[in-house]
Amino acid sequence: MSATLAPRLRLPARVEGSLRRLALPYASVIFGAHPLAGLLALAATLVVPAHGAAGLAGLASAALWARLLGRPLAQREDGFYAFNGLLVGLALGLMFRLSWSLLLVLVLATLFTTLVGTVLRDLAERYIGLPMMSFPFVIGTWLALLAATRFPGLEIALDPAWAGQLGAGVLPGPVELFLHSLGACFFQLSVPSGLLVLLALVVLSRWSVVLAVIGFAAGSATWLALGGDPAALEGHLLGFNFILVAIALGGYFVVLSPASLLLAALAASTTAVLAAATLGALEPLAVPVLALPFLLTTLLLRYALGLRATAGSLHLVRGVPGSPEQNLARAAFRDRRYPDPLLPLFHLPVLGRWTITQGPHGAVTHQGLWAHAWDFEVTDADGARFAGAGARPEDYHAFGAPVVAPAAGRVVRVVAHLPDNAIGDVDIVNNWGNLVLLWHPGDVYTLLCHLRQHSVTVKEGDTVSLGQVVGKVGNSGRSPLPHLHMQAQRSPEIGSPTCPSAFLHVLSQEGSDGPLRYLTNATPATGHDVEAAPRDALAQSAVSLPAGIAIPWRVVRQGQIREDRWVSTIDPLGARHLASSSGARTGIYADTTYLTTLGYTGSPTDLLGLFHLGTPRLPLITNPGVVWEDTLDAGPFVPLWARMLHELARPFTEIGAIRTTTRVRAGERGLVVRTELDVAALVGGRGALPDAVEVIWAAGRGPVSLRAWRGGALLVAAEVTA
Amino acid sequence: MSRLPKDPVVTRLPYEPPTIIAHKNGLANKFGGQSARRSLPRIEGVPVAELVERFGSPLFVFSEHTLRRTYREVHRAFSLRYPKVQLAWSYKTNYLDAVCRVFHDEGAWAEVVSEVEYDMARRNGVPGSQILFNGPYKPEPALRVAIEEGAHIHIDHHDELYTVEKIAKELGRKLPVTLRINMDTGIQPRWDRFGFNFDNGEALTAIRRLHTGGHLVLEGLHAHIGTFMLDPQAYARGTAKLAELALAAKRDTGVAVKTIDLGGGLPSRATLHGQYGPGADSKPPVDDYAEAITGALLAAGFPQDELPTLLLESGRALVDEAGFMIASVVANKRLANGTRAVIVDAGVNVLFTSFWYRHDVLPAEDHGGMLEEAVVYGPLCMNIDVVRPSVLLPPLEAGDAVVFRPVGAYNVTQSMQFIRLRPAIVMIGENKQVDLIRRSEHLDDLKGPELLPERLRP
Repeated sequence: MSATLAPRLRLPARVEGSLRRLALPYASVIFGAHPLAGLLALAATLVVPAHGAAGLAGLASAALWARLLGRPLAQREDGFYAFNGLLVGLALGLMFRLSWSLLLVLVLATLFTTLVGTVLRDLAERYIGLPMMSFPFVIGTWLALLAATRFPGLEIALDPAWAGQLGAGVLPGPVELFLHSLGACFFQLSVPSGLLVLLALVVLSRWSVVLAVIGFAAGSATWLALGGDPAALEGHLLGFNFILVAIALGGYFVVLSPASLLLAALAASTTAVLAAATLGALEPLAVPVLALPFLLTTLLLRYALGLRATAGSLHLVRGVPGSPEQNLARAAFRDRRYPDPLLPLFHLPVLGRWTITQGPHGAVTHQGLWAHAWDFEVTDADGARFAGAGARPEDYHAFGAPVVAPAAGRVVRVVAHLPDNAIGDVDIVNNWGNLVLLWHPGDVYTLLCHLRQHSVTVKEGDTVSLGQVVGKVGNSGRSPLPHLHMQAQRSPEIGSPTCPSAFLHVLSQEGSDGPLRYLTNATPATGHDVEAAPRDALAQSAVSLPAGIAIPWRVVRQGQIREDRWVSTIDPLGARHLASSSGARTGIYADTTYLTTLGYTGSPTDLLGLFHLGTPRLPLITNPGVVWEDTLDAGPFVPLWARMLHELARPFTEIGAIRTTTRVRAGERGLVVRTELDVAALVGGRGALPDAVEVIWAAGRGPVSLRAWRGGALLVAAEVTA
Repeated sequence: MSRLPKDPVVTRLPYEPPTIIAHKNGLANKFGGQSARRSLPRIEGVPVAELVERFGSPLFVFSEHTLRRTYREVHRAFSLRYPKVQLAWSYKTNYLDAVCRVFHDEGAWAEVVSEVEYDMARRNGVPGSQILFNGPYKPEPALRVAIEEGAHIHIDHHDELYTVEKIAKELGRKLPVTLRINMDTGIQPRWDRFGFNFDNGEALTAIRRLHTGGHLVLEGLHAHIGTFMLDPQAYARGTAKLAELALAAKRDTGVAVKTIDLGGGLPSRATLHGQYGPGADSKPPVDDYAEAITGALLAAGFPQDELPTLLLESGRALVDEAGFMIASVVANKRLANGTRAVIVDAGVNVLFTSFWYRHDVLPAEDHGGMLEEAVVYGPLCMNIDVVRPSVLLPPLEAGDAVVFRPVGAYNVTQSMQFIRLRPAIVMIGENKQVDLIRRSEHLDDLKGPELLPERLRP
């Protein structure tokens, strides 16, 4: 996904594995996972060899303890224990001369750190849901430092003078301080170390460098503006706290955006104040603040951001975070294909085609606390809501149509006895009329109102399944003509204030001439026609792609023929992939409503890449005439320079997207999915991209044919051979 | 207070020739003594006179707007009440390509009852997977093609079951099939000639036999309970029985039925000969049929995730009202008993449904004059060529155009080149453009396939 500057090294797997295990903890300190960045950071610690050696000793010792303490493999492999041990080693290495006593203390301090890490991690995973980052290191290092006051064998040797002099005075003061602060992430206080860490950061993420500068500038400026001692910035190693806070909140935990850049600056400023407070608090103990200001600010803000009712302009990174660039690309292209976990999602509460006559924030009654609601009515081809005179509720198309549960749940309240109003009358005493109030998992409720008298078919306490009929559309309550009012709410009282919600798997049309669009996670507005997209059996059977199946391709490209073989895989966590014999790989996500491909890696011209381009999202429907639009990350299909340009521009404007328009129809051989690719908005690397891809899916078999065109000329034609 | 116009315009009423007709008693019922004069000068906004001038007479006219509106009305009635609904256009009702394509464009599948109709549907771009293949006679080669192309085979009898089973065995894969079921739905006549009987257990036996054979999988159940069904409750009973059979099949074989097909039979607004009052008033709204069928399906006890798809094979209800026949008066005469007779240029050769419908007959222009009971004859030299045995008509002159409606169903497909060739057919589009969709026939169209033995040639 994200651009890396690293050349692809070909090393024996065993060597590469060891190198990876060694480098990963170093990269983790600056929120990365790239081995080259780790090796550069390792080099930074080795500018003073004794420091580097202490760091390596801490790393090895912690890794060993984690193993001896029986930590699960997954926890050891993510480098959590090793990087905390590494930091303990580096911190102690900075303060004490390398000696056997130090090694002994290090071994025991890393044991303690690993134990603290085990407990903190467990508690945090259970109750907070946040990573503990370098917290165990801070506690472990304090312990070692407090203990050291009783052990005269440990000889204090802060900062060898020669290291501090390296490159000193060459660069302007603030730049030198910035580099020192970067080095201080690894407790290295020389310009060369700082430069090596900067290089590591560049390898990992260009935006992290920008965030580091923002954080350093904002934190230091706040410190100085409040009259803080300039020497303390360097002496107490505060600068690296500002840098790490900014990276963590500007792009690692929060999706990069103009707002997140502001958040990074604000958080760094807060860190400056917190640093002063912790400095004062810890003074009696004579221990340094280490990474405490960074940890407190980051965890507090991250936790608080997670408790917001709506996402606003700051979006949290979902799942395991990667580099800021990766997180942003994922949010831009991938996350919007999944439901937003903060938003309750429902299927339509009615069958067939309906018109939203009042959407959220509607002009009539959907206002204020009750803004997030929908009114559904039926209009026919001529725009009329009724047949005949329209004088009786029975004349209305909507009247008597079934109302179905928009999600599985339980019936909380039922009102069924109120009479249906004559057309034009309203009952403002029993505003909501006959109704069914449903509870759904996630403690969200839906209210379905104005039902027909005595039409409710469920009782309080019943469990209902998705799509089960609960009543019929009527005209009771404050309803002048037959319609259904639906709202989602957070409490079980009739007519509680509404909360935002959205609909899944919907076909929608704006006006009678607009195209029928496939939407999901959608909030249709007043005037839109909506209907539940059918869940098509042919489509479901065609895209099931069971794990383990192999798809052998015969690919014809410019007269040349090659064989490719795709294998569908599934990992223990349920993530599914298609892996090609060419080395290319793409993720697959499918539920009962759509299939999508995610995170393609491989050559820009590989058949699997074309498949990825041709399958941006595949709703499991066969209605001809339905279109859906999507945007794909051009990243894997453009040169490195273009990719980096896209990533730098992405928080502000999107210049690295391929817009897709897809149509599906049932053809001779199965489901024909044709995607037109629009690269007009793409800067750089347009040349290699096709402008149309057609994939045919056969029932029970998966893809059987793929063709791609550019400018009307056939680029690639591939057929499954078995 | 209203203001009178300064110069009230006095228009002269058109001249009405004096008419003398016998005064009749005994019409003191609510439909009697009809005196309202009706006419139909335009079809979908296009003057009838213009159509006759451009395309001749007689002329079939189809309204694309009505085709689409009716399709949407029927589809809406069902889709508002049931989550999985698919209409399949019944080809035999009217297999004009233009008509079929309008319905396919609206989303209809195709229901065909012969290999000829199957090929028509394929030519119209319908994939096999969207064709329902019905009918008591499907030749084996046709079955093979349909199976190969993934069409839905509706098995009518045991002999067909054996044939399909044989084909499945040869192909070495399990074939999904639908069984046609007949049953007592409380109406007369009871249709029991298509498929396997439900009430005597034959249907369930056939399902067990099919399952035990191991080569076929039961995909759906189909019933065609009758035609021009004016009682929605008959559908409710039929649906309930099919659903009961589907659940019994699931219980006995473990296979969940995926489709329930209630066939066709929905009435149009046409009036049957024996019907009391106009058909448009007697016909229950399509919503009542939808309520009956979907209500029975939803109440049958299918698990929510195993609700079968509801298939419908409507023909007449979708197309009848969209079809008009413009004919011209050839002559007026009095029969020996004094009855007025009107001869028009379209007879039962092109209005085959006259045998069972009282088509509405409307003059294209209002000529004034008293209504008089008349018999409308076609142009054939055959005594049976009676289009309307009795209808009240104003005085008409030779050359006047009259419009018959609704005639969209069955007339085109059952019209014949008997004595006269078949007329042109036009379709009026959504924006009133008129397209010729079938030209009037030439003698070569009739004589082309004939071969003359050498010895009879001059």
